[in-house]
Amino acid sequence: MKSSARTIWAGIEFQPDLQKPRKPVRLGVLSLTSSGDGVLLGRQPILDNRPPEFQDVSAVSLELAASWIDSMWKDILEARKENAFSRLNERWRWNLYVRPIRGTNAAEGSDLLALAKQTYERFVGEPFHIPVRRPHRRSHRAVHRHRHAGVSAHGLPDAWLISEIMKRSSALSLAAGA
Amino acid sequence: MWKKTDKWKPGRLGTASAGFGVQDSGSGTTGFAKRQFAHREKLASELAERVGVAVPKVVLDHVEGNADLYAISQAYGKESIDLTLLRDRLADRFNSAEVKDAIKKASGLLPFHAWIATQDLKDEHLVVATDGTGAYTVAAIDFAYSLDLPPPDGGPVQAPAGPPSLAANVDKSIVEATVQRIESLADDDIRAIVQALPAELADDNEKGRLANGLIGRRAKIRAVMQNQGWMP
Repeated sequence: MKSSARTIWAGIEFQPDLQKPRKPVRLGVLSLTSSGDGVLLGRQPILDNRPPEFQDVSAVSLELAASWIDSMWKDILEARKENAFSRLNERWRWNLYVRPIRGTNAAEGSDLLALAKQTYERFVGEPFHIPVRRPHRRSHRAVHRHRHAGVSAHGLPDAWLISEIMKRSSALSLAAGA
Repeated sequence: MWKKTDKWKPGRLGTASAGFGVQDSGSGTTGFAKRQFAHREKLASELAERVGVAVPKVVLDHVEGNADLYAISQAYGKESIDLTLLRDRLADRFNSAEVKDAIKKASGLLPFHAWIATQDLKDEHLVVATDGTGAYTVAAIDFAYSLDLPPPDGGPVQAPAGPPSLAANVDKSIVEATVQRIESLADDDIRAIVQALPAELADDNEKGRLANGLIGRRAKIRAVMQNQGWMP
């Protein structure tokens, strides 16, 4: 997916304590272009083996964080002609929220997915990598792609689910069924 | 000193009551600062506390770099979510007995909204704090459109048209208990609460209108709740 339009970048964070804020947990990045292309990359805690960052959070917050990628993607699709970024800002305003990322400039013709992975690495602090399993991968020309895999470190059980969703503007109805 | 923060993003763009997140540099407490209708937010919070309904605590204070007074609504629970987002994205949790029970326990908000004439009643303005061990609590937020009480006695009381989740989950005994607490507030108590508002937010005329309106409406709530079938 090549970028040739104005692009908005945002980061997704989870704040474990709204009353006495701690360092937020960075979960992923979102890129939306004025032409309607979009990329959402992120990690979600796995319910049965929550990562340390989510040890003390309630079941509701954990469930929300465990499904935030599909949930936000639905909001983006439902925004239709509305500004998708504004819609996300209005709805996600509690422990899990969206914040703008500045300083990520896409040169005309650059690959939006590659840029998103670079931005993810800078924002989250670890490389974006979906290992081995690619059950839903389509060809590079696909207008919509949604793939994910659990990841772990040092042989431990999976604690995060890594997901990637991307679409082209012409694929709105197709993407909605994903 | 309250300072703008990006550690909490409660602000909603494009709304009349738009504000921004703030944090107290001393205590670390976070809040949502609004300048517009600040006295309404403060008064609603004070009255709610007096009659035992859940509204997040509001303080009036300055925010660094701004000369005006702001109403700073403190975060409700260390984890919270509005009911609209909960319903749309975690439907099973929204429909759980625990959440329904929490909504019922917030039934006192119905006579409270009737009393202070809250207009902007929707599920987005109900927040459920989820950080208990399954014992959730629901509070009302955003009173920008309230307390528009016509002189001399606050005018007729109407049944609140929402929020939908609240109106659909009424605990009549809690409504009745709240009506009794509102009715038992003395005139002097109401005047004292209103009088405590800073003069820069409400002059004597405004305070008189608010106090007389609240006193005048206080005895009209019971009949409205009974007509709605919200009381035993």
